[in-house]
Amino acid sequence: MIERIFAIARKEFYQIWRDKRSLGMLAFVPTFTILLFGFALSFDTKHIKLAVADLDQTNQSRQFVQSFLHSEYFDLVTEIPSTVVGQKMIEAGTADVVVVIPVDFSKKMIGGESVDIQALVNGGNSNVATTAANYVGIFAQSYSSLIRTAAMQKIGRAAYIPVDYRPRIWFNPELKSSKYLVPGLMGYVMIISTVLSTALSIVREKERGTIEQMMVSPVSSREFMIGKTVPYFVIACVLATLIIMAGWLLFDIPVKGSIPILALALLFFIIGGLGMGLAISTLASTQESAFFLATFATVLPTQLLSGFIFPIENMPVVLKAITTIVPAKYLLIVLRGILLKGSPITAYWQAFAALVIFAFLTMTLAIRRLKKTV
Amino acid sequence: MKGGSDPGSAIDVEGLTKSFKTTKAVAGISLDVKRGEMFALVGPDGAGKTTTIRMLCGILSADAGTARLLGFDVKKEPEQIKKRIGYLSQKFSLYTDLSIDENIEFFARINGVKDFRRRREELLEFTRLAPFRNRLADKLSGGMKQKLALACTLIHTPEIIFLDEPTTGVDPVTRRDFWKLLAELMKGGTTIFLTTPYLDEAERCTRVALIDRGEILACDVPEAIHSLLGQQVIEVSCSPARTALAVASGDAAMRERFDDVQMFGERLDFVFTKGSAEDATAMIERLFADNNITVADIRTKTPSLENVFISLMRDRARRDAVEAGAEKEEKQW
Repeated sequence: MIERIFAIARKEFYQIWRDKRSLGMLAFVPTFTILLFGFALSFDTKHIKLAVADLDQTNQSRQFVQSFLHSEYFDLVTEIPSTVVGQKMIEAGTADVVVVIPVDFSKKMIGGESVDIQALVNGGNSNVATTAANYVGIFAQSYSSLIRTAAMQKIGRAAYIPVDYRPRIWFNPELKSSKYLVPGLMGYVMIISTVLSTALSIVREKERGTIEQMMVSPVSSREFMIGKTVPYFVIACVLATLIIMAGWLLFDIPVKGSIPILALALLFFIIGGLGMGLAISTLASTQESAFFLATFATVLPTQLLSGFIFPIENMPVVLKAITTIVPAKYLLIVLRGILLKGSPITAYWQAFAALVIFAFLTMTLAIRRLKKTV
Repeated sequence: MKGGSDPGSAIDVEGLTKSFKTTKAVAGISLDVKRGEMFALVGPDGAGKTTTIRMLCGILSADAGTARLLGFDVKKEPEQIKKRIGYLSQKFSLYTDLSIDENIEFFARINGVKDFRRRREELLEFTRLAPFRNRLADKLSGGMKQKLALACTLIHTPEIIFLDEPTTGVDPVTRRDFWKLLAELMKGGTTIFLTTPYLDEAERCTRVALIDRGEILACDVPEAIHSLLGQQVIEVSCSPARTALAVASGDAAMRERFDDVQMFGERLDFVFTKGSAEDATAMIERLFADNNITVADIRTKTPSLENVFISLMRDRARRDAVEAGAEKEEKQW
């Protein structure tokens, strides 16, 4: 029995190694996505292109502009003479934000009057626009509180700020989106290397008729199933380790929590994925239909409904309900808990239990279906 | 269950039946193949050959009937059987991304052949594939693929091998080589059960069963089948053959005299049972002369399997039509 399973697993490894398509899918997809999501596709808004129309040209106005440039959020593209030029720059895309300082900026401020400044924001990318508008507001706010404190001190009264708001962000203090995305990426890569690869490799044997040779040989359906999944199990484990290493080395995401629990959670997720792949292989008779089924049943939900990119909290009620049956959602909860927060298992035990149930359910389903077909 | 324990019986089939949705693919066939035989199941496409062979190998389960291989029941004792049989499917079903050596090794390992290296050398020698052993199966010619498939089928020295149309789509040279290999295997005592649409191939087998629409029409040694219907054949090479066939079919006296006329390219075979051959020959010559048909050659021969098979199929079609209540005013070829 072991001999036969080993023979099938070995053959499968040869085939994966030689089939450039499946090899590409297993090696290229994770590398590409980790680079894409980790580096290029960042949701952090930094280096917003700023153009300033300083119509006042006084010390005060220059000081106000400088306060924007101390941070890395804004890059001063140019100083412009008028609002009209700013509008053109936004239309041309050479500036994301145009701040217009009125002529009477310093005069009013010294006189103790309040000043209106104008900010034109390019709403083409709503994500950048929201952040940019917020930043302008925050900088203006902090500048005015600075002025107010100074003014108060001048007249000999202690600075008084009614509500002092100082947020402190835990677990991801720099609010780097890579820290949020890398755990999600793990779920995505695991799904591809388990569900999709297993389903395709078994359906390929059906398509080519090689499965008939198995049926005539002493190989039982159980041995065939184990032999076929072992290589993908090994590959998924290696990939999981590599992604954790990459997260640590490239994106500075250390494993803060328990490594054994992390390993167990991944193990259950991988087993569940393999079971899912096996179950799909019993439903599909061509590689196309297997690919289609696997994509719709697992890859797309993992991408869109697991909280990988789009936060589940912001979803409409119906979608939110659907996420309950997306296994990757639970993996992400556990991974983020362990990787970013280092929380104990009590914090995410429900999600962990969901992964165990996922593994158990899909394997049972796969074994039942295989008994009928093979 | 007769013959179940007969030690001389390799394949013993009783009333095997299989239907797919509405069509009856195999309609209760019975066969008895002795050990060491080379047995051919002959029939046109869709006759039920592949379904039969797949049921015997345990890939398909039968709706009704029993099949015993080497005394073991196909349904109840599949483990006993799987060790002892080999199956060569109609479609090439090896791993195209593995080399010749790797394919043979894989099949050796899943069949539990411990010392496969020696056996592999023997088979590579036997099939003359040794020079190409490291080539991927995908890069082999059709004939070489088929030989490799045979080598994989034989790796565990099976007692019976099932070959489903082994020479379909194979070039004539490889086809001849393949038959040489089969003859050697039979000499070594292996029971061979094969299907083929080619009647000339069936002539080389020890026994032949003719199958059409899921039923066995005849089963015997090739020589016996030739004389099965007590027929004689007059072979006429003539041109234009198509016109000749039309003229012969249109003549009432001809239809009365002959059982059947079968066209094979530029050749017409007139099949008859009654009267003398001289008389019949004269009748054909007269008719063709009257209709300006050039006769290149005319001779009497014993019917080939092909002639018999076509006659049997037509007989059956006629019988079916009568059973179905169709009005048959006169005999038709």
